[in-house]
Amino acid sequence: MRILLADDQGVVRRGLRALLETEPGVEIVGEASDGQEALRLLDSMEPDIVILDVAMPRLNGIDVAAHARKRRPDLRVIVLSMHSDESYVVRALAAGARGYLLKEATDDDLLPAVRAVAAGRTFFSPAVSAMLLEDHVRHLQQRGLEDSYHLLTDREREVLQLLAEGHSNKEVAAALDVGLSTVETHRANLMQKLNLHNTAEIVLYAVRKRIIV
Amino acid sequence: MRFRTWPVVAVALSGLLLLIVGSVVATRNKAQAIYSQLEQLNEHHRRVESRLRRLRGDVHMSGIFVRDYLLDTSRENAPEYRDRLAQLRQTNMSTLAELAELVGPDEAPRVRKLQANLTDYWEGFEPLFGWTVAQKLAQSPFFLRNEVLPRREAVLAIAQDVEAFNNESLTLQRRQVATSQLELRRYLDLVLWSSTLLGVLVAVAAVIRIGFLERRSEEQRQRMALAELSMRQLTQQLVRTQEEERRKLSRELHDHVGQMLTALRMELGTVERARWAAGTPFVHSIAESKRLAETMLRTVRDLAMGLRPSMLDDFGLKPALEWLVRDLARRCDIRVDLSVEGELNRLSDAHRTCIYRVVQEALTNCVRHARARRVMVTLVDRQDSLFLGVEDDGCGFMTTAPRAGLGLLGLDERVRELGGHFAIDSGKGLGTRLRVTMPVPRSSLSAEEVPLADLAG
Repeated sequence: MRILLADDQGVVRRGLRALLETEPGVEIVGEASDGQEALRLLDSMEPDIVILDVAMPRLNGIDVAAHARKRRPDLRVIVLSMHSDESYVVRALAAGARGYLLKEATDDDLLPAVRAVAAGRTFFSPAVSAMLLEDHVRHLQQRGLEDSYHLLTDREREVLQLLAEGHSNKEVAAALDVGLSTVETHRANLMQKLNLHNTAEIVLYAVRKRIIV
Repeated sequence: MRFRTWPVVAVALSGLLLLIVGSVVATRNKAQAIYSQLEQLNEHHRRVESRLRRLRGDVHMSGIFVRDYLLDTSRENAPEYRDRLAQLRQTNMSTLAELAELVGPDEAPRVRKLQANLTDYWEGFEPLFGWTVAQKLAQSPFFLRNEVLPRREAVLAIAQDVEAFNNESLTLQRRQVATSQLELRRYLDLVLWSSTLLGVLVAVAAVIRIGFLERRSEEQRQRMALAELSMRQLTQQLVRTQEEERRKLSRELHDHVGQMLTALRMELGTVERARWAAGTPFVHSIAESKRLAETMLRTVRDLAMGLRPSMLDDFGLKPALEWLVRDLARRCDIRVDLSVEGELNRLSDAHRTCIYRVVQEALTNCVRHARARRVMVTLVDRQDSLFLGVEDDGCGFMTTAPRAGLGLLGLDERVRELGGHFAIDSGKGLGTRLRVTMPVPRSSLSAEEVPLADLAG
């Protein structure tokens, strides 16, 4: 598994490298200290996974992820951040990140995240999903609303989970052995029931509800 | 509308001036009229007098002619005397006609009587011219004494009468003129007194008004001095607040971060001493070190976010405000509804920061002072201007209170610096409504805002 590290702090890169090298089958193919360098190394090294710090000079980690995913849709992205707030999480998801780690808990979460992402799943630091859920519940309580997850049919819940894990409509159709238009109908229905507007919100919702971890 | 003094004073003064000018003109006209009336009177009197004089002269002259004729013994001179007498009679009659025209209706009977006597007088001469020399010699003394003299006396007496009446009427009319002169004097007195009174009134009113204005300007000066003083006090308080904030920050860094670093170092020392004796204390110290580092990280992050949220620079104003609202909801029991209309992109850093600080301060006030349960934050981007409204259901405060809030003063200053308008509307138990409008100069567009906003969709 080829991994690229990008963080402007050398100390952090060394720590990440030390941690990752304990995992068998992992190869660190490069280290970048800013966003532009990360983009260059992504092109030249063609890693499977990139671990990006959000706060980097010249180009921040989320922008790097967005650019890189346009060129390499199969690239797996893990984002490192100080912030568990939804404004960062939702942007990281929109930029195509499938792992979101809080820096304060990197040593515990990094290896599980790499394993999950390598297996095509998503991973969020428990503190992040806890915070997102709390905010969501508080938001609903303050407005006297209820979560409408219970309104979903079993099939819609399956579609929700698969979409949140990063599968395309076509992959979902194949996995459930139904037609593409059926998946699209399920997708539209569940988005309407949950008041979601795009894929990023579907993933965010799934993270909040701990449908995906 | 405010009451203004100068138009009133101007009107009163011009009224006074008009009164004086008008009365001078009227007086001049009246005096002129009296003078010309007097002149006319004298002229009339003089004319009547001269006619009478001529009348009397002619009568005397005719007597002389008649006597000369009677004493003349030659017959051939008779027609000449007759012509001279006829001429005199004619002159006499035309003078009488002039007199009749001159006199008024009161004298007309007298003049008619004069005319009758005169005619009688002149006709008395007619028989003379038929007389012979002998007749002249024999009868002339008798005729002169008995015919001419009495008739002449009668004529002269009436002329005397007319003259007397003329004089009398002159006196009478002069008295009338004197009366109108007296009236004029009374009029002048009236004008003098009324303009003096009006002048005094205007002067008194002006003095009272000036006194009032002077008092008011003095009050205003005192108020301004007071305002300046309170402004200075506020500035001092602002400085103190800033210092207080620094002290808080310093204490936070020293007490929390410093203490935790000290603790971390001690834990690491424990790890160092226990490195060969693997077991519970070692694992415990490592876990404690990690816990300390995590706490420290969070403290530093919260501190940094409090100073300036990274969202403001990373994602722009809207995400930063959303975070602010969420963060507040995590810490306090308050419901904040945030509504943003418009794009909000391409705002300058100054505008973003200003709006963010206004909302931050307003929300802090809602929690700390207003004890509000619900807050409504509205931000509208109208292309060339921004509108911000923050409305809460808290206890409110008196906006007129001198210390209505140092924070608000700072916000006002911030907003005004960007050419905006800051207004606050509150009252005890009425909640608080804060409104900001500020122009956004779109010509100096900076595209630094929201590099990631398009990715969220």
